[in-house]
Amino acid sequence: MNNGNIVEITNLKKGYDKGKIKALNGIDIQIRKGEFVSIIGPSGSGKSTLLNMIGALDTADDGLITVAGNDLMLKKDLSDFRSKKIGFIFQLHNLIPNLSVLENVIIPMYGNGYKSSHMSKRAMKLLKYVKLEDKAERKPTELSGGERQRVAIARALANNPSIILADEPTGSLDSKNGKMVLERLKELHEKENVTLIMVTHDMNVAAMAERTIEVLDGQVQT
Amino acid sequence: MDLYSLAFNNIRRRKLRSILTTLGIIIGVATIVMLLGVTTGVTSAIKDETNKYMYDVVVTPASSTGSYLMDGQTASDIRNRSELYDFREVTVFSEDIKGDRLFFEGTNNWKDVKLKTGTYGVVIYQSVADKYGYSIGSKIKVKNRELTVTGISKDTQSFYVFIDQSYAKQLAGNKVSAIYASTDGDPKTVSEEIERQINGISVETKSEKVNEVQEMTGQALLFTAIIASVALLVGIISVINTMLISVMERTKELGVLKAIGFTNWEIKGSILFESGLLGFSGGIVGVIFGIIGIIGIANVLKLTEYMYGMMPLWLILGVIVGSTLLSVLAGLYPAMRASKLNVVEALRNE
Repeated sequence: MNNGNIVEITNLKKGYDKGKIKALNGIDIQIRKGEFVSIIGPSGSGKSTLLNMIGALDTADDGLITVAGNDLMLKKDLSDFRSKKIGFIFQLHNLIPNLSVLENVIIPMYGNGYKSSHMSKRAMKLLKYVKLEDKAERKPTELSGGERQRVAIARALANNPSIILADEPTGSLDSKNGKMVLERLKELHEKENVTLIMVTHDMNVAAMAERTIEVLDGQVQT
Repeated sequence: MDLYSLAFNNIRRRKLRSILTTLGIIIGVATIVMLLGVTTGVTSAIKDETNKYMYDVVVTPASSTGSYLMDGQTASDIRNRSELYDFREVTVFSEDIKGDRLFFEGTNNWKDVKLKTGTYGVVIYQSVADKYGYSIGSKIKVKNRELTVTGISKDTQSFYVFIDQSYAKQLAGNKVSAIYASTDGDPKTVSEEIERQINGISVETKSEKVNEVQEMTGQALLFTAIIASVALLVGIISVINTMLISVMERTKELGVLKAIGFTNWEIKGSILFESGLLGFSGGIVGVIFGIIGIIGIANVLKLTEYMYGMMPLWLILGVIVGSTLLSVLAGLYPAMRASKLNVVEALRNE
């Protein structure tokens, strides 16, 4: 991490189908610690691929990528990095249906050596933060779309990550619920100084961020 | 919330499928416990009986003599052999009583005769009592003597009357049917020597008899083990099938777990624990059903006295451990597949 940058990406490349499809074609990005950045671009532009690279869900073919001090091109086992440094919020909440809301928030904390009582206490605190403490014992299927996405926010915060990555967090929500989720995310950024990187194709949503990065054909538009 | 709770949750979530999968293991385990248990119990009973009655060598009349009794001189020649000691003679002869053949056997050890009522002395089988209408105090005429029944034994399989060996020998004209003896020498060499020197006899060694019995029971055990293993194999295949389907259905869920930081080992562990749990619970329930089956079989075959020998601890623990380990093994391939899932592709899975 140099000059307060939490994400440093240089000439990052990623191809699919033996390189025929160039999802990322030499990306250069720097994101400061505590910054709220939105990544915009049309479908297939490479914005989600870029987010997956930052979150270590996928590996690049070439280039340099350092996130929260971790060189992701060199690191072999990325599960610990994902668990402790990154909080993911997906477009479709991706909660585990047979676990309760509380268990869904607890599950990322597993393996960090916390006591069960500590995990439950922290999960309840996070559910209170997203105003769902009264629905802790419910199953995700019993919640509305907006509520599920708020549970996903609580889950993303479980391990107190350095960076929150949100991939179209309002994409499957109506405007009212979408607004509520965005307010929570913005509040989180402002109060907790969490670095927030959000992929969206909605310009209104992107406008909430401090900075917007546009990706087109696997390259950053300047 | 941990991996184990996740595995429990997955089993609970797919109740019917889990029950059906476990049912395959239950049937396999119950079959193994029943077949191997009954065979083991019967085998050890046969071995015990063989060891009880067989000395190092047993001398009987040769089949070429056409008789099942040896005369007194032959018996005396055998008893005088210096290489033999610790003799036990048995005399068995038969008489036609009321038109049917009744067997009289001399015994040296009354404890082997399972008395139902009365006292030792002249003990008849229950089947003899039923057929001839004898009871304690009844008179049986044999070889111009009269025997008074003193007791009735539990046995019903054949028609036997037990009397003291010395009295049986006397009634049979000092003849004996078999002489059991111990030897310090090699039983095989000793038996060959005696056969060569005394005419009209056959000498068998204990090891020959025991080997014969053990070979037969060993074959029976192997056969039942093969049949039972096939049943268990079917159960294990159903575990592989269930776990593979489970992994496919949960592709997205497994992708989420990986995305939030679960390691490949934790993913594998969760799948293996789940399949092991199916095998363990199937093993436990299968053993219970197997034991119920053994109790039923032992009662039907009237082998209740050997019932506990049919449930050896090694078998019970062996099948529970075996079904658990085999199920874990069955989960290995699905677990490998789950751990190798590409996170991005898994998250896209619907």
